[in-house]
Order: sequence, then structure tokens, then C-alpha cells
Amino acid sequence: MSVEGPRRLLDGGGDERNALLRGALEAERAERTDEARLARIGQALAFAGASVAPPPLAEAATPPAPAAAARSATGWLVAKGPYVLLATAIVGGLVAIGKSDPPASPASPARTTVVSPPVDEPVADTTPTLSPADLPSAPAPATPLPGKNAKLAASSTAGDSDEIALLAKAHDALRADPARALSLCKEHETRFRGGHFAQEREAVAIEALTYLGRKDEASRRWALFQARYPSSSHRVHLEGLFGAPPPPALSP
Amino acid sequence: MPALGYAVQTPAVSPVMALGPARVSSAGPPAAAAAPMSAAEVFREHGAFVFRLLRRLGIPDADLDDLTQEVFIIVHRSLDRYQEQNQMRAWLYRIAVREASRLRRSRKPAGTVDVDTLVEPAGSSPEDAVQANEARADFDRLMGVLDEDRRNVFVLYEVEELSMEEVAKVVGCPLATAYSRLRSARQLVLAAAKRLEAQRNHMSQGRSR
Repeated sequence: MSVEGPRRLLDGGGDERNALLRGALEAERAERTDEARLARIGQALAFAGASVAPPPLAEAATPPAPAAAARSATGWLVAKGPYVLLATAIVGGLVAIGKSDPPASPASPARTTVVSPPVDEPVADTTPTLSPADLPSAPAPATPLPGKNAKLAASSTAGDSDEIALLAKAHDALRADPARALSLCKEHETRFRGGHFAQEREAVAIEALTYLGRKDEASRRWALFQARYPSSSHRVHLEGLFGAPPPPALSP
Repeated sequence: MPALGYAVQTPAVSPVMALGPARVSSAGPPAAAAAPMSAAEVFREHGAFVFRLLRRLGIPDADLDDLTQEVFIIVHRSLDRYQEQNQMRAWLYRIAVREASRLRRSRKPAGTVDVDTLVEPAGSSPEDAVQANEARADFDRLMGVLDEDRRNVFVLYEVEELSMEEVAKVVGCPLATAYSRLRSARQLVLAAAKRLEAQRNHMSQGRSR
């Protein structure tokens, strides 16, 4: 059980009141992060950068024309392979708030700080120890990976590309064959339990259910989606499918 | 103090602290915690929080982006061992505090700013600054009087609203030490705030003459 501390300064704690200190603390607690800047951090983390990153599924309001399939977001994903997996997931979550921002500047120098695994944490008994041999192998990236971003790439796995490919098929099938899209989502759920793209799968599945006219199932899944991913970038698109907030069906 | 809903959900998983969903609303309901999160999801959910925390811990603006990235690179590399423990935010606190400390050590010896140096930036005044930004600038100035250990405890307790037990675990010190640091940090910050107010009043009076 946690130990109760003294009353916090903003709750009337301390021996003396000071308006300046109180104002400073209140402003600090109320601070909101610059979302555009956060988006740039996400893009830099994603190392592929916004200039080549595909739009998130939320932007795919209409099915891609066959001629455009090769350059569709999911087609791009499959073509680029596992090195975009984290890029896609992170950028996908940020494009909605950082669409108008320039891509991370390639000129900004990456620091060469060695990032150590948290083996020396105070609770190191639960901390994994990583060595180069522990890192999964991955094929060479399509583009050079600068600085620390290479560390991310080194952690991508071959299984990730399978996951991406499967979801790409599901997404591409959405309009033409939503039943197949839903089936592929189920396959993803089975094969990639705990995979990186559960959120993207759910977005595709919800959309497929709406196209199939299975509104109740779609609504239930949409409610769960919102509960689990309250700040998802897919929400805007999915909200458009429903046209209204989902029913309050979260509580049993 | 913050609710400890996650602790209720996972009483026997780990003795490590658990942070409540009342303050971690972005983490979703406890029921959703059963499914592991990806690194990308962790960033989406907690990126802003980590960024703010690092700034509050005194990381210079020029280093904030890089250090935020490094925190999530560590998360990405080590996520599997943590994602099922409902300890995500506690883990992020520890990583952020540790990486902030590591960066500060790599730059220069930890030091504090003398209270007498807490003058207003040239060209600025409460009148021509946006109030919230000014107040946050005050916060940064006040934190400048604290050394790293006291600043960490003060920020985690007074701003992040962790319990004292949680603070002690995050910074890796005995509970009594955390209390001692908080007490002295409060004294230093209060004294600095008084000096700032006095300086501001003095300047205001000078302008009005």
C-alpha cells in the first residue's frame, strides 16, 4: 500500500503560501505538450520519416483504385517490409495531429549517446538484459538508417513483415470484399496475438463490419476500440462511419 | 492521493509501484490492460507525458526531442518484459528519471542556480508575456535552485502527484530520504519564489515612478 505523503503545495500543504509558486505549479500541471513537436519526435523515431510514410488507415475513406494499388499505403507497407513497421505505427498515430508539420529535419544531428537497456534500474530484477545476440535479425533497410534510428531497425522482426502483409491484404479487401477483410482480421488476431498492429486490425475490422451491415457488432467493437485506444488517430475516420458516439456498452 | 486502481488489478504481480488510472486515463480501463501494447502504442499513449516529464526534470529544450526518443527506444527494446505487468507508467518514470540523470551527468557537474540570479529575462515582463507561459517560466526558474535529487523528488511529488512511496522507488532512495529531499526542496523553492516576487515588485515599482 502506498504511503500517504504530506499535503501537496497546491492542495494547501507547506508552511507558507506563495502566489507565485502556486501559479507556477498550476501552470505546470496544466501544461499541454506541443503536439506538432511530439509528432516530429514520433517521425524521427519512425526513421522512415513523414516524407515517405503512408497515410494511416483513417485516411483511406475510399477503396484504392486498382491502378493505384501499387502506391497504396498498404502496398507501400508490404513493399518496404519490416523496417516500416514501427514507422507506420508511430507515424500513423501522429499524422492526425502533425499532418501539417514538416518532416523531421535530416540535418538535425543525432546524438550518439549509447542507449543502454534498463539493466541498472533499481528494480533490475524485472529488467531484461539485452545483448546483440538477443536482437532479432532483419534484412537490410531500403534506405540508410541514420544514427540511433538504426537501433530501432535492428529490433524489427521477420514476423512483423508477415503481420504487415496480412493487414495490408485485409485493408485492400475492405471495400471490394469486406467479408474477406474481416476474415483476414480474424486470422491476424489468431496468428499475431500480441502483435504490433492490433489497433490497425481493429480499425479495419470495424470498418469491414459496417460495410457488411453488421452494425451491432461494429458498434460493440467500436466501443471497445475507443476504450482501449482513446487517443487513436483512427478515431476520426471511424467516428465518421458511425456518425454518432457509440452506445455506452462498456460496462457489463 | 491518486487512486491505485492498477494496484488493485495486479496485487501480486510485483512489489513495484502501480499508478492509478485516475491519473493515467490514457492508459484505458484496466480490462484493456490484459492485451499487451506495442512500442508504437506506448508512444502514442505516453509520448506527451514523457516529454513533459523530461522537461520538468530540467532537460534543456535542445535535448528534449532526442532524450524523448531515447526513452522510447529503450521501451521498444525492452517492452516484452513489461507490457503485461500494468506497470507501464511507473516504468516510464524510472527510465525518464534515469536517462535525465545520465544526460545531466554527461554534460557538466550538477549544480544549482543561486537565488540572486533569478532575474527576469531581458525584455520580458509579466505585462508583455502570456500568463501561462510566464508562470511556466517561473517554474523553470524556481526549479533552477534545486539540485538534481531534490528537483526529481519535488517534480514527481508536487507536479506528477506520485505518492511518496512511488517517488522513492522511482528515484531509488529510501523513503525517509525522499521525505527529507522534499522538505528541503520546498524550503528552497519557497525562498526562491519570495525573492522572485520581491524582484518583480521592485521592478514594477521602478517602472511606475
